[in-house]
Amino acid sequence: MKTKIFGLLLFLFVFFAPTFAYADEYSSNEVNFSVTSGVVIGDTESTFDKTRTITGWSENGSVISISLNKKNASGTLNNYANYEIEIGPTGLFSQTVELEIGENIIYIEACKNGKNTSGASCVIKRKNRLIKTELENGISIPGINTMIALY
Amino acid sequence: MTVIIMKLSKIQNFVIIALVIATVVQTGKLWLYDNDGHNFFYTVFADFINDGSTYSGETYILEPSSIITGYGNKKFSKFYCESDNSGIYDLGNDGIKELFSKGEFLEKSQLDWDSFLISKCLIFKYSQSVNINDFETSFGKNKDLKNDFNFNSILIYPQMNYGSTLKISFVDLEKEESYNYKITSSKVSKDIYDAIEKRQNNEIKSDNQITYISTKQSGFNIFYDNVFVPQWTENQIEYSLLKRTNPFEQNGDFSVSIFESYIDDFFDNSTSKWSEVNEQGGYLFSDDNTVVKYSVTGLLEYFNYKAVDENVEESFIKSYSAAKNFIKSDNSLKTDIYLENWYKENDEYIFCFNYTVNNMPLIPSDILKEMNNLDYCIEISVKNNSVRKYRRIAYNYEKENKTGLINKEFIKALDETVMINYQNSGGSIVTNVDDIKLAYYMSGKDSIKLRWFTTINNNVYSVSCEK
Repeated sequence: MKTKIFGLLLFLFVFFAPTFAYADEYSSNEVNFSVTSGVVIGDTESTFDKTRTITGWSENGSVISISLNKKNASGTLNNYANYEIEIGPTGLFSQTVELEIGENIIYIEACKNGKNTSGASCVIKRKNRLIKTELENGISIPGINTMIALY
Repeated sequence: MTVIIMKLSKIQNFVIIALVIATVVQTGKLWLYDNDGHNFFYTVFADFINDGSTYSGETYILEPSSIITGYGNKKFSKFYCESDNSGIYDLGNDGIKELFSKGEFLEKSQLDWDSFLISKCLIFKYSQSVNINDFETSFGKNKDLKNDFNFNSILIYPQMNYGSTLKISFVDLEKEESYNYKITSSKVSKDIYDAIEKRQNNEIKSDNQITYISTKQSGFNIFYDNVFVPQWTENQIEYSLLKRTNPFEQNGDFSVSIFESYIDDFFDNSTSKWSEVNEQGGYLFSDDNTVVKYSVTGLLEYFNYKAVDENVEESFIKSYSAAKNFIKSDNSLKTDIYLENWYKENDEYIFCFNYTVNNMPLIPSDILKEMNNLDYCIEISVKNNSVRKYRRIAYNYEKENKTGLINKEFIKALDETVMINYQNSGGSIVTNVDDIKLAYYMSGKDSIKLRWFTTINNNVYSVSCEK
């Protein structure tokens, strides 16, 4: 009889007792944000443009940080520009950044008090616009090394 | 000799008859100009004498409210028809004219802004829906376009080679669909492409600080329409303030003689008008059918009381053409304008124009609107192709030597506006924004500044462009 009562109590305890789970243990608790245009996260692309407009959305009250960096000859990352945008009630952000000629490594982070920072990066290779003009004005004939200019 | 005398006599008779006829006509116009029933020669001359009350002249192409050039790299440039010095607006119209001559219908497709804006393009944006058949009449064409639809925007896609294909899409925002056409071997495709390239290169060389982005392409779905908003790289940029001038003033004072010299063109016979000064100090000139007023609040008004010819075939484009032609005759207007709105009320078409300076629109202040009972800078009413009423804020606007600063970008302005709307509406959340733009606010002050204007549920909110 005692065994049965004990078994019943154990059954009730296992299936009906409240279970406490802390959010930190079961989710990342990172700031939720997304880049909707301007760059492709994780991607490398080329451009002739001097500027790029990065747009997206994030949580109200968070801060988006955009840092632009270039690698020097020794491979060290040099930061040359930073932008900070406070996110308001619409949750939107839009920032036009200036690119330098060469490989620009862009880091985008979203942070908010009480939440983990989340981030992403991408690479944009900016080429000199004069190259674009030369490419448009000239033609290349297979087998010939010289570009013939159309003037 | 006798023969010569007889011939001279005949010539003399013809000359006398011609002089008599001319005298009767001139007297009729001077004294009986609107009393056709009293004119003995009415039935003979009715087809030859245009009394100007019903417009039957040049047909004007319906102008877009704004023009956007897309460079294919998610950057755009926005400007207005009257301030276009590059000729790109005319080239766009040439392309549309080609469509109405030899264009082929391709397909009707779902609206996809991402694919629509990926290439170089020229965009004509209209403030209202336009019917394609009405629009075609303004080009003097009558081609069967295989479809009857309304559109809000026209997108023109040129190519860089001679005789290449030109594609044109008409976008219907309400139905979220587009009607796509092409012109094979277009004569203007390359010209439009080159004009867009040239504009882009000029902007790069001039270090133009302001560029435009598309809200749809940027993923900002809170906007109902595809709105082109200004962006800049620096934390703040300088811009020119505006000043206003009164074309009827001389040495700071209103001049009746200058005013009269401008308004004589509004009268069929300027010598027969009479004038008076009202209690508020405004001026009024009038004859039997026309009244022109100037008020101290800076409002110029014209009223036409001639009987309307009900037999005249009225159309939207003819009414628009009458309005445009009338505005062209207002020599006191020196500021560029653009068509902001139109609607029909009590059998009259009402066309509303605002001013534009420095590639930015001008919006009348609330006080200016209230004082003059005017929502736009110019409102013109047309009935049966005849202008009945013309009201405009009489000042002209131009850049002055002073500058202002913009350091609040559009999202900050939108955030502020959303909070204001939240407070005013008792806590309702904004899910749809109609429009947002930078515009000069036409206050009574001498230096006119830019402000952000956001339209939510047809309510316009204004916030400063400085933090």
